[in-house]
Amino acid sequence: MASSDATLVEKLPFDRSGDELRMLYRRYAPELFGFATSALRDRELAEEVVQDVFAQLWRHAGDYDHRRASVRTWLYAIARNRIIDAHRRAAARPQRADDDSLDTAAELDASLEHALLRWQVTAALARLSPQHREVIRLAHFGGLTMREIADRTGVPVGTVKSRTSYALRHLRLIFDEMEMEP
Amino acid sequence: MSGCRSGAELIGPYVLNALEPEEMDEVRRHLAGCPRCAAEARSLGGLPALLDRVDVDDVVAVPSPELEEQVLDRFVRERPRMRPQRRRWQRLAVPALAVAALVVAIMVVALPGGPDRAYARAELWSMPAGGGAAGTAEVEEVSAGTHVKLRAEHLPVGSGRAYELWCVRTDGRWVNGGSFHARGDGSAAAELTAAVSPGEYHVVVITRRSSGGERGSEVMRGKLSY
Repeated sequence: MASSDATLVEKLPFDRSGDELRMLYRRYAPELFGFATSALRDRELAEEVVQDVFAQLWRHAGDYDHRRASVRTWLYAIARNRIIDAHRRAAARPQRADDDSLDTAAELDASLEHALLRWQVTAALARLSPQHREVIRLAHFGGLTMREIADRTGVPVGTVKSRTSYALRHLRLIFDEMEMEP
Repeated sequence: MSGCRSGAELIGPYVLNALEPEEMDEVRRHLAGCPRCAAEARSLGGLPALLDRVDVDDVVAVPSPELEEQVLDRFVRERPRMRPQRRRWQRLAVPALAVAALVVAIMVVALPGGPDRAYARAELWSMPAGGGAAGTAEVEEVSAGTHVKLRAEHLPVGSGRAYELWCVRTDGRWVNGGSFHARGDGSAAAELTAAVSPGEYHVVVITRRSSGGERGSEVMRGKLSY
């Protein structure tokens, strides 16, 4: 049985092989990177954020208290602070005319919430099958009715309807797995 | 627990406002008299607003493969500087706490009814390979992890009756809870144990039995309500 996140963090200060850290990295680095990329719009900066998050994780693993927050929540809190730091560094530089740096803490907060949500929805859609993604794309983003989708794709309209229902149900369950509340 | 096959397949298109006007009216009338479909419509109703948050062409950014090694390298370089040091009070506190924990454990086991258990329940919905199956899963915490009491109907049995139960953790990892067989009429009743604590997951999935290292197709899914 795989170790829980909290167990891995507790073992980190004694981790001689790097195995615990690697396991935590593989569980969380992709989503933290997605969040950071969505917030910073810069792959290089996002990779720096992820590195810093894991550095903070092993330096402060002894302070982690599973009763206060899950490991995931903790990692996102660290990532959030690192992203804010990156924004501040960018704001301290001389601004270009086309620079759209965020001016206030409230704007930055809202921007981070938006970035997180945007990444989560994008990641959830990516976990759907191509057929399910396609019906959502055509119906929601394309504004087509079930009959129009059937005409366009050559799939029977009954199949398009049930596929759309399954797609949304699956999407909802993916959000549940991600602990998101629509 | 028969479900509502006729209404269920229109709820997704209804939520996306992608039916013809007369069909929209038909679904509205149906929802007024069908609590199960109305609950389904409420459950899916927030999705369009979430979908509005993204562009259709957004893609999931993936970190470079080198990043993992960079993180590990940095860890190896910093590790010698961060050896944990146990303070004197901690050396004394650990044995004392162990004795206290033992006393508490003995008291809890000795009390009538034993320790409290966590309960949860999931309504299981059919997935594409489920052919209209429906069921429930009742969860009880046990020392080995989770005891799941499963009931199902309308399972497709034409191409085999063996199924598997999975608990999906919040980090997306799947923990196998064992396999069971459906009866000839597609019903099933099974009691299984998964090596994962109830609080660590809240989605239960039934699949066809795994074959050749590949997980079987999904038949039913549901979210646990604790």
